[in-house]
Amino acid sequence: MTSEHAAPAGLAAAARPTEPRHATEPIELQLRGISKSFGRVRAVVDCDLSVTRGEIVALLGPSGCGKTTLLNIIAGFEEPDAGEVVLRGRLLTDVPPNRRDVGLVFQHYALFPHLTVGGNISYGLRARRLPQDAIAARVAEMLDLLKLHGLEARYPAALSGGQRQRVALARALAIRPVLLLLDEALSALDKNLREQMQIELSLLLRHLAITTIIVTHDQREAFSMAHRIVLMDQGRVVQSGAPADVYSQPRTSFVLEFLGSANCLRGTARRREDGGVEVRTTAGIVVRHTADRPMADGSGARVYIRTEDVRLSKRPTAAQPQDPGQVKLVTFLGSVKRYVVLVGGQQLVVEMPSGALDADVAVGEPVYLDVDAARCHVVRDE
Amino acid sequence: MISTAGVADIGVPGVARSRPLLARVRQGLPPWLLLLPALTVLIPFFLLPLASLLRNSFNRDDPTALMVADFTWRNYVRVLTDTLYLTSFGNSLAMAAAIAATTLVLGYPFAYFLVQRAGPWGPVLRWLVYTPLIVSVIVRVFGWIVITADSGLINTTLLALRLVDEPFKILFNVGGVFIGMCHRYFPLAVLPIASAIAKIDPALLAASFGLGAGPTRTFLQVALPLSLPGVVAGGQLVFAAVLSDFVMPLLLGSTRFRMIAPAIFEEAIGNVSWASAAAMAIVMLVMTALLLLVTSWTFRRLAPWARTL
Repeated sequence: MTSEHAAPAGLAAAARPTEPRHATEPIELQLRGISKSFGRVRAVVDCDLSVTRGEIVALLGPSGCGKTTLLNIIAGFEEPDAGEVVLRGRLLTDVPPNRRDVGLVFQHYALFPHLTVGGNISYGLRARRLPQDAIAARVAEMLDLLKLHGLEARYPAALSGGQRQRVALARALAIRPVLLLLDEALSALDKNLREQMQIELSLLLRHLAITTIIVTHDQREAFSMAHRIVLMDQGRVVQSGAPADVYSQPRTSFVLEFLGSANCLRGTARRREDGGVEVRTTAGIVVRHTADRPMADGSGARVYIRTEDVRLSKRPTAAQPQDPGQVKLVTFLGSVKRYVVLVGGQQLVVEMPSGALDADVAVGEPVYLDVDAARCHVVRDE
Repeated sequence: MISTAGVADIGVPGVARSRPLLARVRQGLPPWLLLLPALTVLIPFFLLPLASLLRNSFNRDDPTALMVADFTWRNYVRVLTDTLYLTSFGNSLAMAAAIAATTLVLGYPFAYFLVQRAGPWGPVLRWLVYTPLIVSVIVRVFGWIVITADSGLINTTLLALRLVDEPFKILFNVGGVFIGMCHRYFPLAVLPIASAIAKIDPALLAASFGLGAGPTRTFLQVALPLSLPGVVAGGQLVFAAVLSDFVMPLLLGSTRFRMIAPAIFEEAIGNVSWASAAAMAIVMLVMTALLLLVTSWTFRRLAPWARTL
């Protein structure tokens, strides 16, 4: 099916996913002090969130972090124990889900199996009692927008995964919702199709300038589609910001560990003569610390180093002046090569571009690691 | 191997993936062995008697020699033209339709409640539905006699309240058969509907709400159509069961409202006309089979999606 491989037409000029949002846009959705418990489990704890018009926000976190509960509260399927939801100036506390003007795309699409593609797309329009010709026009528009031509009379069972995904989107967008909610919307697709849909969907959402909340546990999906990442853990918002900011300035070790694969090394902080602090890790790697928080001499510290922030070298480096490590495993992953290096009894994972000169090391060879201290994250070890 | 995988990929993904796995499991014993236990019972006790019934229906009843081997259509002609038999068939069909309609109308909301709303009471209600199946039909019939007789519970209450001057004729009448059969076949209507409703993905109902439909529209447009396969199955079960029931009409009904199953019983045991009784049975069998086929076929035409559910 060729339509599955093509991005929506005329969207070449659409914005990049990481562009900064205008602060001047009006606030479309506001969550104030939302809390929700299920028995003893506190699913969402005192959550505040503002989303501006046209903004795409990803609620990102591991399963059980409360992101789906938050989504259900916004959609109206769950009632919060405390707090309120305001959508385009309207307080939604007593508004049932069918009066909220929120478009939903479910994880497994939830297409009506007894209705055709056309019947699915027009469902919300019929519920709104739109005149027949208006419904027909809107359905045609949606078929056009999501490249579903010729599939109108098919039943969902006769569609491919990608087509079902698009029908679910068309159905949600047909009602012209104020807010679009995507609940793990791409997770049921195969990897290739999923990445393709991430691009397609990013372009489409930016083209329509529709305020969107994506719920996902997949960092790639969140980063590739959202203007802003809202990281959640144990019912709380841990950090919120543009993908690049969240990635480069993680505020907690949870964020660090959740985003990207990082090596974690334990060590001891030492005050230097020039006033700085360096962390001597048990693995023998020395990292000069430039943290904003002071660290006492001799206190325990953890150093997080992302796999792509380590370089291999055949000569001693500033970070590792002696005692080279040993390459235990080299894996070719396409654009990058992954090395597992044993340093001071500890395993480190290193990823370098496949073409890199220094990347030409074989298993068993001694290597030194070079670490850019500015890219490391040092936290006190409690 | 490669070509097989390629072909399999065109089909339904789940099926395609499971195929090689199943093929390997099957290598042990020939699969038809699984049918053997059932066939050892079905062939001697069901298929052979059915064949002999078919053969008998072409024989000739004789006042002195009981049944004479023959090949004649006379029994069928008589069964299909004599008003006495035709009325019995008609009565049975009408009763089956009425019972099916009544149990479905009563059973649908019950099944819906059972699945969607009963919560902790679900198992209790489910058990209540099963009780008619647990208690012997004879016990139930006598229960209904106690309740519906001229001096039974219903009539003494009505008389005591001075709502009627003389007892309602329920027992040994159409009404008695109707009430007894509704009770007997209620579970057959409820259980397929309940299982169809239980199969509806809750996300579909959420999706309907999310798209702006209220509870009524959601029920009429989503829950009801998706549970129709269960309604059709329940209706077919009840219909076929009523047609073949002879205990209820025999014990609760009267000869003024003759139904086909007791009529066959009477023809075979009372009149000792085995050949014509066999012909009646075959006609009823064909009629039931045709009805099931036609309703299934019609439903598939009207709801092509149901096949894929």
